[in-house]
Amino acid sequence: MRRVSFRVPAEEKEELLDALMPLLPAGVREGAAERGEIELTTVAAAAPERGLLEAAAGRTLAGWREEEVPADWRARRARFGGGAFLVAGRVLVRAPWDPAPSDPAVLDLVLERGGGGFGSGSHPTTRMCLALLLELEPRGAAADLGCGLGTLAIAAARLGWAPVVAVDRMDGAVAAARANGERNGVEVDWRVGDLEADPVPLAELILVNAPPPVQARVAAALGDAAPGDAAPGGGATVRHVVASGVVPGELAAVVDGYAAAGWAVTERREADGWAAARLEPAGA
Amino acid sequence: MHEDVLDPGRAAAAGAALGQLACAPPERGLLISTSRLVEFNVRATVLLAPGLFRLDLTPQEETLGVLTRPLTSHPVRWRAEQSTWDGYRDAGGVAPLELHALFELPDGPLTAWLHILSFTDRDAAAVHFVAKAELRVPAP
Repeated sequence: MRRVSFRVPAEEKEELLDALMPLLPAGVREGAAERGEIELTTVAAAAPERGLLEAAAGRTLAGWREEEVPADWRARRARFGGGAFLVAGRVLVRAPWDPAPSDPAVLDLVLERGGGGFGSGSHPTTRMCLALLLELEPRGAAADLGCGLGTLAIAAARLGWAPVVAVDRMDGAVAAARANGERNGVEVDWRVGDLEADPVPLAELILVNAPPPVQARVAAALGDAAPGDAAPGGGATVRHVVASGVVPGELAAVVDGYAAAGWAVTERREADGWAAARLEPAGA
Repeated sequence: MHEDVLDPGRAAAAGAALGQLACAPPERGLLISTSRLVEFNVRATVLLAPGLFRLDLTPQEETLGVLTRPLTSHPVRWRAEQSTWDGYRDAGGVAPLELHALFELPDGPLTAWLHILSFTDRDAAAVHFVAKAELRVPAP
């Protein structure tokens, strides 16, 4: 396989792609903007002709580089990265074949995808929940409700929250999450459960990256106890809720549900058309 | 204007490197059809209607980036059938995606209906797309 990369001015990228995309059937991977330029990379069995692309673009393509690369995408990712997600500069969510962080201070979460589970780190809601989680001082138990691959539960456990319980309705996701927990050396109580019907486990920290119906059930469970008081049954005093899995247009109704239970938004985030919020007991 | 953008020869030539097929349906209009295998985190052009739009898709493990790039300065309105979007993450089946557009061209409106099927192959870290676009002059 041939890998070709070149740089284009960031402000002209879309106009240049109008000319280049029809000639690049394998598509392009866009790098981060640096000094006003963006690196575009394409990988294909045969490298595109530089002259053809430059004629279409009407300009020289700076930094043209062409090299032989492995056909296997895992080997390419191990060499070039591109599949890992760094959150707030403090947590790297990656697959086993992605390069490990070079900074030992970065929390390294290694997640194998599988089981149809959500939470590989590629989705903005996962990254926003992690960012909101990182701002909290670890103190007490945590519950990851709708845990998917277990990303948030594992992150909470690695940050010092304990004990941690995690629930998802998909058997396959919970199996993958359990394996991910072992891979990351954390103890989490992994459970299969339907959060729209089954009792909602509560803890000092509740992480809910799940659709509005699940948010409504969590809010109702919180409403059974006064904010700051021990929750019925579990004995936990819920202090923080990190909620996402909703779009901005849905967030108001979700927040209203928590407000009815005595909770107020203390932080709010939006990214790529998704929303997240951290809530604490109103007046706390 | 309509004659240019509904010309199957032009659409086929513009999308030749992409393997795009184009033909004129029995009634007046243009059909373009293609398939593509796109790796995660790569932005690829899946449909190209010269003089009207380009459809770029960027599949990720849990999201699908959809960009309808206008190739005309005339007004265009896009809408999506959002109820059909939830299947993207389900690797066990084919997820349909529908987009509709209305182009306000000088010689009258033109509608576009885009139908895209995707199948996510996580083992290959890639998504198969099969896409078609129907461009038609709406009945007065």
